[in-house]
Amino acid sequence: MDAVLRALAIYLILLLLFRLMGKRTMSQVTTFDFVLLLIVGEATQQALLGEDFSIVQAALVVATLIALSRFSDFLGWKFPTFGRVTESVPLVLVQDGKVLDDVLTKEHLTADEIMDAARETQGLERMDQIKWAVLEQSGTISVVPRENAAPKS
Amino acid sequence: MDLEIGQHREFQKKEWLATRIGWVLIALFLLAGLLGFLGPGPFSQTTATSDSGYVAVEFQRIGHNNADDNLTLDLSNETVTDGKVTVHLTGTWPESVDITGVSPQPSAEYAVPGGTAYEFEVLDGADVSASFAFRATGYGPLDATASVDGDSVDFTQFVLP
Repeated sequence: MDAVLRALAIYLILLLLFRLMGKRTMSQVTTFDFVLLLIVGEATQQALLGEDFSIVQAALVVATLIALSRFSDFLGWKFPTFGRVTESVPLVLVQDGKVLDDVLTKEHLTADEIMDAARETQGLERMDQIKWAVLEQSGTISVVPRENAAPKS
Repeated sequence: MDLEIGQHREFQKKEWLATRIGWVLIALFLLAGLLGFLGPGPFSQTTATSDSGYVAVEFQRIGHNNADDNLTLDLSNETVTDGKVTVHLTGTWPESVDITGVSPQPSAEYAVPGGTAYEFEVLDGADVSASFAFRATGYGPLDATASVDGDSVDFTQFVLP
């Protein structure tokens, strides 16, 4: 019982913290972020397992975490509001070449990051070539170019 | 043509607000941790003293479950009789912690109603400072009474999960 409750507590704490960190956090994992994630894993390991390092305890913890993740996905599918709470919603950043500055301010994003995504995914050169730019739930920025904004060859 | 997207501005506004509140709460959580409201720290470290001042207990108000902790019993030489002093530790605290070591080592240790008694041998005129290393196995407020010949001090340690 202890292992399941520990895993539930850690799952909820991590879910809350990562939600508070914002959509963009996990989309751009730098080397330092990767090291931080390893440290987070190390810090939670003891709280997850307690003093019991048996295979059964490990199996219970892993099974609980996977079940919670699956259950969360199911609830998000069944109840859209729950899905919004746990995984947020997509957000329009650029509409017809016009940057929505208030949204960028709230999300702590810059126009450079949008252009970065536009260059990488669509080969676009200017903001006015973008029809839509969307900050997706996953934290990535997807770009829809204007019809006449084909990339130069 | 509009973009087919599950955008939800009302929810997004609430999310931004909740996120800002969350950041403030995290800052307060970290501050509480630094100040010792969530474990060892300036607020947590305290000393409880008996009315006579002969028995004192230095301990952490806030402890953690399954974590090493330490408590010090300071006994004035007034409590020593015939080179010996016996302390009774009773209450829910002794029941909910594993005492992993006592220094100096008691000359005798025996069960008493509601707890354990520790007897220390003392050189003439010396005060006693006994350190108890322990690990809490329970949660919540743990009450204890340390008494020496009717002179007692009560203290409470709150153990967090």
